Amino acid sequence: MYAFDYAKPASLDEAARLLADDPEAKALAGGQTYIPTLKQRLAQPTRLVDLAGIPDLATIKEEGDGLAVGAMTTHKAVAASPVVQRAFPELAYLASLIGDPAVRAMGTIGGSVANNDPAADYPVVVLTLDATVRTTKGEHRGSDFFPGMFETALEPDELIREFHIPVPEAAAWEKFRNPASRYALVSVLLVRTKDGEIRCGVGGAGPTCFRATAIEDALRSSFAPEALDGVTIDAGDLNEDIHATAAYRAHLIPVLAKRCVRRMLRR
Amino acid sequence: MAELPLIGEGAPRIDGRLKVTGDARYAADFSVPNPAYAQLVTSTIARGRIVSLDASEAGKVPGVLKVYTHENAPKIEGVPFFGKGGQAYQGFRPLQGVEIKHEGQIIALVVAETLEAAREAAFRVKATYEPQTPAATFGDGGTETEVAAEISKQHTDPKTGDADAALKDAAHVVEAEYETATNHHNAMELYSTTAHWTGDHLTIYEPSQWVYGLRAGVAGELGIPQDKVRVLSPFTGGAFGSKGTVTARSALTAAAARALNRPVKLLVTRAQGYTTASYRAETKHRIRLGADGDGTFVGFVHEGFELTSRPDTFLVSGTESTVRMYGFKNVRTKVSAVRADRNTPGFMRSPAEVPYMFALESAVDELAWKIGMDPIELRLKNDTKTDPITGKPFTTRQVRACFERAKELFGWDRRVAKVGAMRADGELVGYGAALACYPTQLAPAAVRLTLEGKGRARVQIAAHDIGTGTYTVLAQAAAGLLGVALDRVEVELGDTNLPAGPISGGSVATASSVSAIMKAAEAIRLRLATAATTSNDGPLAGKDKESVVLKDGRLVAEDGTGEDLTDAFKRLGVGTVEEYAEWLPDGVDEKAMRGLYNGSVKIVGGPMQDRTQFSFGAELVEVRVNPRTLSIRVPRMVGVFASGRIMNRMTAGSQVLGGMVWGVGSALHEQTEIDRRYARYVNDNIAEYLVPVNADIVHQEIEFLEEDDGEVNLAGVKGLGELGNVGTNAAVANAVYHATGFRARKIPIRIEDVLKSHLV
Repeated sequence: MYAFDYAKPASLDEAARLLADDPEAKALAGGQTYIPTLKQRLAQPTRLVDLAGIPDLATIKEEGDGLAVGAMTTHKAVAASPVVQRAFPELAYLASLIGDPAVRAMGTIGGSVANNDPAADYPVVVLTLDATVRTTKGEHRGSDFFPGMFETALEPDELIREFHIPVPEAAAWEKFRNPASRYALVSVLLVRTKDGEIRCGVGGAGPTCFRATAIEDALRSSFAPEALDGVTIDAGDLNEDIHATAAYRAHLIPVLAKRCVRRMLRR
Repeated sequence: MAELPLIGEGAPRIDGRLKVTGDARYAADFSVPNPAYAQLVTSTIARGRIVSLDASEAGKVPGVLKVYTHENAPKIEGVPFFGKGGQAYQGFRPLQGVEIKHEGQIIALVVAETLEAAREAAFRVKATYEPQTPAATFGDGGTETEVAAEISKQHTDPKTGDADAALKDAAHVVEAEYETATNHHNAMELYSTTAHWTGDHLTIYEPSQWVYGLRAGVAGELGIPQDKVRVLSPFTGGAFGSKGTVTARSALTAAAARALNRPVKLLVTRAQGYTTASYRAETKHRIRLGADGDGTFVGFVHEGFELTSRPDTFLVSGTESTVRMYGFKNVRTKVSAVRADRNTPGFMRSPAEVPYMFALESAVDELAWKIGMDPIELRLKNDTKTDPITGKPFTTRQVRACFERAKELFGWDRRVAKVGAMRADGELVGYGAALACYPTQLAPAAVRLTLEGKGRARVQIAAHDIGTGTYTVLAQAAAGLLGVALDRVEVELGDTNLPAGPISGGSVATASSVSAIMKAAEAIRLRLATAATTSNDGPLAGKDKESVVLKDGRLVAEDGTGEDLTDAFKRLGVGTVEEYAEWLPDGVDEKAMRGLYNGSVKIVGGPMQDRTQFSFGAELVEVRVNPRTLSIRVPRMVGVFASGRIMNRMTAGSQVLGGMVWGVGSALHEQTEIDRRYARYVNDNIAEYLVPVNADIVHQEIEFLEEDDGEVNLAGVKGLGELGNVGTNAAVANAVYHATGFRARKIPIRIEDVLKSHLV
């Protein structure tokens, strides 16, 4: 690891100021991606601004038609939260499948969304449900939060405070995991919103998460697994690596979407 | 001479406590005063030249002592490649010029006050290259194929009769091509070198399978006398062939330590280990195997193609083994080297037999299906008592007994001789069999053996425990021969201050070391027995000295009369008897002993002048294939082995159990993926290089047959470090065929390959 300074501010404002003062400074949430990145020398910050000392960022509560989840809430806390389990059980399930116990104990929803790893899980939730991302500078809509791989709408000194996640009428999460890293080779979040809209978010497959409109269109006319029989996804823009070809990822998307449909129909 | 049992008891490892408590000292654990830390920088191109290497940024990192590049590197003499009788892993020496011969070649060595500073500086070394398009593997433009017999004087292709003519008239012929993948050893313990000079004496701590070779290699490269170098490697955390030869890093580290006038510790990362040390190269095989109407083999053609580097011809030439497996009447073989822009391959557990026996044992299975015969029956029908190439007898060859016992343990008679006909729990079931073999090889060995009147013994030999149990089996040998309890024996290994032991390779260590111990123990017995029997008084006076043995802490005659060791020693007038013994295998002249001390390897075995000697085994596996996902699992394996005297049924059992697990890896998991555009290894880490885990191995049963082979060596030990993982890959592939009808001619078997065949 390179040498760097370390700060542990007591408030979000102070953290934001530290980041604004030094463009090479970087915020640290749960560190489950960033610490390994540092170890591999893929990042070279002058200073780490550790958000762990800021109070009241790890809260979960019901709020209007959805959930308000603090940016520093760990995956473990979301998975175990009675509030989430009652209001949006599929979100608790999703959190329970992230990484391994160590990652879930440290990793946070805010860190995951701000990092926007193509294979991360929470960005799919924020995008698909068009969650509101409340920050130190205002608000963003989840539908325009993820412009590209490892990119977000956040400015360098902007920090996520909390998320407002609308709770859907029904949802199913399917994740085809790499057996070693537990990252999604492909993941699919299928929801029916309270307005009855069908949305299908996809993670792991492309440079960033996206909505599979072909699947949404097909399911709008008939919400049944067979409706997806003829649906194909263009592999052109998808990721390819030693674990899977782009064509394989493209193939997996409707397969996982069908599984989501089956699970939603069973409930 | 005292007798050792044919199958020794299963004594737990005497070094087990040290290992599980972390007290066992591995090479990188040794502390040296005021060490500097070194880090390698490796090339990102596979072929071309370095245009410039800018170390200025690296030099600015606080704590950096020196950055060595081709411009300022210490001069390294370069010792010959192992394959040419030297000690070097590869003939090409990096850092001595601008040429790049393979991806991941060492291009700089950074030395700093701390490991952290060295790593940081290494990342700041900037290289610019003039790259050329590399050839990565078989089939790439730019590879060169050369026939081994034409380029190497040592290589001859075994041959007998006229195989091509015989195959023309054969009733049944299998003609097929087989492929095996690139594999890396991935020992748990990473590569490291620590070099410490005191005056003109150099001490090297490095994980090694051959400390005397490392000493000779480093001394040769630095241009200093061998006796100025001491190498220590008391424990090695897995090696599998990867730590046998001398890689470029050792002398570089020592030269840096000399120049900087302080000890230097070099730690090689997992990824760098993939390219700065050896690996198992990919191979291809063309097989033609023919039989007459009743299944009697009439002809066998085995052509092997092995990938090697541009500078070095490394060939395993497994045809030397395959041609001896059955009574082939007519044999033709040919081995070819295929050169690509890769680091030089090397030895990896059963280097020759793993790929070559996969080809043969798959072809035998294919032929059995073609004829409509049970594949074990076909093997037994073609069993032979003589070596088909030399016509000489096998010393012992229990192929039939191994298969018969294995069938019994496995329940082979439940096999339904039809593809896809067996099912259990909704899955397709397949049974597969293969023959395992390993040539019985030996090397010269010297040992110092000490027995104290108080009943304590010590074994000193520069052999190695690479995780195999050498400490334990050598202690057992000494305890058994000197008649003392196992916990009274101390064993010292892995140090060039000790008498020279054999390289831990080719499964020679136990057989050779125990033979030397037997010779030394006999000398000790004879001294005590002579004193006791020629004495004027005492219980053994006047007895035949040959009938007196060391047993249970006593010196006893056949009729049970005897005396305690303390009395026997008193008679001799000493408290301790020490014997140094040198043991040479048959057919090796005395010069080989001097060679052993000078880092020259002499291994003999397999086919000999008057006989042929091999260990054999039968491996039977069951696979289960999910008919929908086609995922392949191996719930059950049985292995029965005949390998001469088994020194310790527990450590030997662990060896072959582990070998068969590795065999499953060979069949289903292990493959170093190569990015052909850049001739670069992609999965150079143990997260993405797949090996079997506990969940992949469910039930294994192994058994050793008693085998008394007085011909192979004094100890009757055949060696089995490399026996277990031979044939397993073919057994799995054969079982997959039985279950699905898919013939895997390429390993590891991937679901997508099975899918393509879609016979399920």
